Amino acid sequence: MSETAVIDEINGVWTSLGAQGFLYAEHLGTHRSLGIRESARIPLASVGKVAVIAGLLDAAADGTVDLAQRLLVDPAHSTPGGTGIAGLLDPVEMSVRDLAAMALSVSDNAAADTLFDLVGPDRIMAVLHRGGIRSFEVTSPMSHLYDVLAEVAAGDEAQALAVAAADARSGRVPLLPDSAFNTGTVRATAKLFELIHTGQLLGPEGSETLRRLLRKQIFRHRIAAGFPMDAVQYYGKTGTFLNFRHEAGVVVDSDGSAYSIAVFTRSSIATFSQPELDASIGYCARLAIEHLRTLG
Amino acid sequence: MSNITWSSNYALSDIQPVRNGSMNLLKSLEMFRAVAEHESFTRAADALSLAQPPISRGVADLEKHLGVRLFDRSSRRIRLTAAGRAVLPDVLEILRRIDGLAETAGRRDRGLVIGVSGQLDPSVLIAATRELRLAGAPPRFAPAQAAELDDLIGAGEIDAGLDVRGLGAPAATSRRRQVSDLVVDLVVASPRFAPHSEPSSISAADLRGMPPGMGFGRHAERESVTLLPEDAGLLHDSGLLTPLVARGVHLGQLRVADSEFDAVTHVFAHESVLLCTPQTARTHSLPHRSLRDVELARRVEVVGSESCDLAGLMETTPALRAAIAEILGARAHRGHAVVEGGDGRYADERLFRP
Repeated sequence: MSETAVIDEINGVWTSLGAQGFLYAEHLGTHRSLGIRESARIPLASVGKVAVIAGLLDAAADGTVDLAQRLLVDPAHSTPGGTGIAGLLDPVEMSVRDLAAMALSVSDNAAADTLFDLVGPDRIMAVLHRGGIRSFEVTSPMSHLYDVLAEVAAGDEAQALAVAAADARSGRVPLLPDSAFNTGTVRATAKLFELIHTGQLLGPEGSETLRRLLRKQIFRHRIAAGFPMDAVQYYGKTGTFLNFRHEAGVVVDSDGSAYSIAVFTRSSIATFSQPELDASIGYCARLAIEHLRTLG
Repeated sequence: MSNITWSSNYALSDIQPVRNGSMNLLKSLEMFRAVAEHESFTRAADALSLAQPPISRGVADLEKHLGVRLFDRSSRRIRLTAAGRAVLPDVLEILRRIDGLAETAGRRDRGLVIGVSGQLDPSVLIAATRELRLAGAPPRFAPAQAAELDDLIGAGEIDAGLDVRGLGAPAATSRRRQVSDLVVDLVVASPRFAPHSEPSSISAADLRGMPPGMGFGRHAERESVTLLPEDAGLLHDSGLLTPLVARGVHLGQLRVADSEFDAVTHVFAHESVLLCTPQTARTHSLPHRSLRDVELARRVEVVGSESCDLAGLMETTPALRAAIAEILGARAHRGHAVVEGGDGRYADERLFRP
């Protein structure tokens, strides 16, 4: 199949699902790549947590942060979220490194924001810039998303979703501008994961720790669904907010070749449950990577 | 009267040559040979499984026939006379030639007939059996239907059989059947492979299809891996399926054709893949590749009979085993099991994830 045919097929899948997609995949050995709207800046949602943890490990490496330090997180006052500590009733005490595990394994907002406060946006951006990543910004915590929701829809997520979806096709949502959020391009996101995989972002030890944490992610309904076989390994991070459904990570194929992959989608349908769109993220990631695989 | 010393008159004075029409000249020659070899009538009788009197009579008949004493019986130990020594070489030659008459005549009725299921390539057959002899006769390999082998043996039409069993076929149940250690590797054949190109082997991962259950309108026919009817057992054999599924070939890709014709038609119509022997691929001019990381091979079963323990023969006659391997395109199976995930990857927490 030619590259044009693959791109057409991928776009066709998303069009048929009422969504717009952004994709970037690169063979980390040959550096052959496939991109679809790879330069568009899209709200990152939880994909940004990867940069927060990278910043944390960087701070731990120079002694600024003690990974074993224990912190108290009170769900009554923490950032809300559907998973992790925010769903508990009573305060928990957890080490910094365990909060990192929570942030990446179940996309725990409370844990991630606790760490964001500890690390700070300057450190996070410094790590990204050191890696040459310019189009991936994490300067606000996850709580900011909820602040914007409160402002725009009085905290009514369904209302906010309807607003967001209505103008999704145009890509311009005046009430919920993309600029209100941490944004990034799929190309920069894939680059971030490439540097995590090759050990260049944090050095070998920090990168291995980050990879180990990323492998703990429990969600397998997006990119992992496109590679449902034991012989292929995958690690990455999902991101979900209103009508955005994302995932990005690294696929290591059975022959040892590695691919960075980032897929962002914006749906024009205002429902919270869209399993086909979730599955299409895996399907299209698979199409892109199979294409790169046949290029040799 | 007998005389201990030999003299040339011995031959003429003592014996009157008699043409005896009822004597068995051939038997007498054999008896003479035995007595000469064993230097004793008693031991010669033992060797021929006869009593001594017939031996004595047979030799005496021969002496009368020739008009000459062949043995000096005067001492305990029987010795050839000069005349006996003179005729012995000729007698040996005569008997040797008589023994070889059957082979000279090209008679084959002691040659084994071995029935073989599956395709037989005549040129391979001839090359493999050119020098092969079993008990002096070349065995014959004849094509036969797998289902008929037992009946043909029972009817005496063949002496033994070789049954190449399809993937996942149940193990041998009849007493006369034995699983051999020979296997015939299957290859994947498709018109979408470039002919005559390197590499000649691919990974099973190269056959993987898009994830099942995602109905995004893709044409799945090209992803099919067609099995011939005899290999349908693959679908029920977890040991054979697991390495395939682990590499991304999902069950929806596997289809069993009704016939070889149906299988080949599908492959040409959809550029899909056929799992078959290299011989079958060549028959249909299909480029093929071997699978380097999964083992899909048909087991060779040996069917014996009262007249032929073929399995035993294969063990004691390496040349026969080699010829059979060549004829079937088989190789010896390495006994160990392929261990998946040797680095413990497959035994990690992924088994317990939600």
